[in-house]
Amino acid sequence: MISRRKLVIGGAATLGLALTGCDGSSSSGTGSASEIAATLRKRFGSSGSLFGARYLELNETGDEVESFFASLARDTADESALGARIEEMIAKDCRAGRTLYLDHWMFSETEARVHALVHLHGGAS
Amino acid sequence: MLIDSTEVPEGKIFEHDVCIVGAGAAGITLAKELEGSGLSVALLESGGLENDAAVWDLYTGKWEVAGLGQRRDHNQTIKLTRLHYFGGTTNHWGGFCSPYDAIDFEVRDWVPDSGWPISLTDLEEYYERACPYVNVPSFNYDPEEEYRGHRQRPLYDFGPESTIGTKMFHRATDDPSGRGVPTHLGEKFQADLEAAADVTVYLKGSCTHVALDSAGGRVTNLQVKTVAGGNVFEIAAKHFVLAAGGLENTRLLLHSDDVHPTGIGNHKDLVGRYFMGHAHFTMDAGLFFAIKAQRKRNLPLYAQFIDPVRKHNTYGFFVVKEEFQRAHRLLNANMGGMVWTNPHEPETEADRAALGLLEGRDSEVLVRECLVNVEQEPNPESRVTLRDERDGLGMRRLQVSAKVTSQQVDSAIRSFELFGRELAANGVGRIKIDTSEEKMFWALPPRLGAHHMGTTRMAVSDSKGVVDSHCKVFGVENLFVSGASVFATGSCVNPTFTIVAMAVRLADRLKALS
Repeated sequence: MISRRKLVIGGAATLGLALTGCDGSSSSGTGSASEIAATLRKRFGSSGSLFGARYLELNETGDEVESFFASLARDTADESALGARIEEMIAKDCRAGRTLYLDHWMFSETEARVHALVHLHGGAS
Repeated sequence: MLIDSTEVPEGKIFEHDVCIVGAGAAGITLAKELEGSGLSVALLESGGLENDAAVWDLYTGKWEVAGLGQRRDHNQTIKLTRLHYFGGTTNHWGGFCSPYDAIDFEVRDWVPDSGWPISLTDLEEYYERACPYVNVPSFNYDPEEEYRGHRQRPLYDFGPESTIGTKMFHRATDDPSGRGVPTHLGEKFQADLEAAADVTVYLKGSCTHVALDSAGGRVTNLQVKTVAGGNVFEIAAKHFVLAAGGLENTRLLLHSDDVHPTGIGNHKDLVGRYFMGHAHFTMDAGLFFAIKAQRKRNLPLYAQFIDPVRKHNTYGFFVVKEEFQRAHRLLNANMGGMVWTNPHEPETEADRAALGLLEGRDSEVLVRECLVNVEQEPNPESRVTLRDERDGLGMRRLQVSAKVTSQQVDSAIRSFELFGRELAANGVGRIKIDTSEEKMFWALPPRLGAHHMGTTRMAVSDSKGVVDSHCKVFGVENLFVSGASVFATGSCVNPTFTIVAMAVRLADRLKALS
């Protein structure tokens, strides 16, 4: 079996911790973690919740994911800007090789976190 | 002139300036190029003008593919992939024409035994001259140049910074719509060669022995036998060219072992080694494309289309650009041939979830599989040898032992990953990879394509190969090899266009020597 998944996952977790590096607060300038999740659900849909659950199983804790987005949201003016910034980060992830596999599907690390946050806050509606 | 070899008197000796064995893509091109040069040319073909089961049977043998801890046999491969009548395997080829890439000729430190003694630059003028032989437009395969300013282009353009580019293939056909069959060189040039005063085509005559002088450094004549007539005759010439295909060229050299016990050109045990095909990995993968969005922008993701510039049937395949092949130490590969499943048929909950991610993005098609066609790296253990069993003319039959390696699997996966990242970065799709080496091995078509390359490879010296940069067999002053057996590496493209280009080049050499 070709096993590179663990390596990628390890990289993702390390990056996540480095990016988070904050107090883990779930509130931000654009709202609480659940409000951010609602924003992201609108933009990215909720069908990735299954992958989000998988990501949380294998990679980061819910707190780490929430901290990541809280930190991101604090630096972002509004919902629209947050969504655009995340899409930009997804593209950058892909081009830099920051991708991982969840149930054999390839995701950018940022996109995987998006699905994780959506999953944490209700998942598929 | 056409001669039916079965009607040639027993023991007769014909004399020519150049004798070519095999009237396929290489042999016919050589004969056409030499026509009118003042040289008397013999073109020897084992079959007639149509396929003959008895002749075809001469070329059967054993075929084994092994590697990754697996092994499988497919003994019909040799017969199914090679045709032995006038026109050779162009009688059933796919017609995909694209030149090799510059990187294919280079020494790549991550590809053992890579590197040719010639470069793409050395071949460019010959690719140009090869075009009319196969009915493809003049040489320009750079999509950036070709389609600049045109609304339509063959494939999605991921942009100049992308790892993924487009490899262009023109289809060899005289039907610009591309609906017709690919160019059969036998049909195309039969009348010309029949009318040529200086070319004699010997049909239904099989070369069974390449005779050397007593010193072993010069070919004196070929022995020719016929299946139907049972007669034997000889052809003497100043220069000889084996153009009988990647397997038969090898068989003739190894079988002609009366002067050199290991066969001709085989003093370093290299004849038959480095056999290469193309590993066509069917990735256990799925892609969701936002097709409607693509169509709005006229940017397809898989393309067979009529070239708007040259009005010719053209294909595009995705490739990892050369600089990224270097950076990621990959074998050359192209990606395409996707199998479309429409409408969506997700198999698992995860597939259903992934499909849902593109809802609202105009996605309408689920692509379930993608062919990743990878070059096989040169490998001395991947080889063609002779069995003790003999055919109807007394020649030893072939044994092909091809190898599939982890490097090929790894390149397939990592190339596909780069492709997947570009799809995701551009928001036009995503990939699924669910595979193991074992699974990938068994998903491989056992034929490894129909491209038989590398068994008389070109090299700078006899320690690395069988022929020199002019396709002359090391140690034999008047014996040349033409065809994919001289290829030092296999690229990811179909070989015929390069075979024809190199045959044109060899013809120039033969004219210069004469």
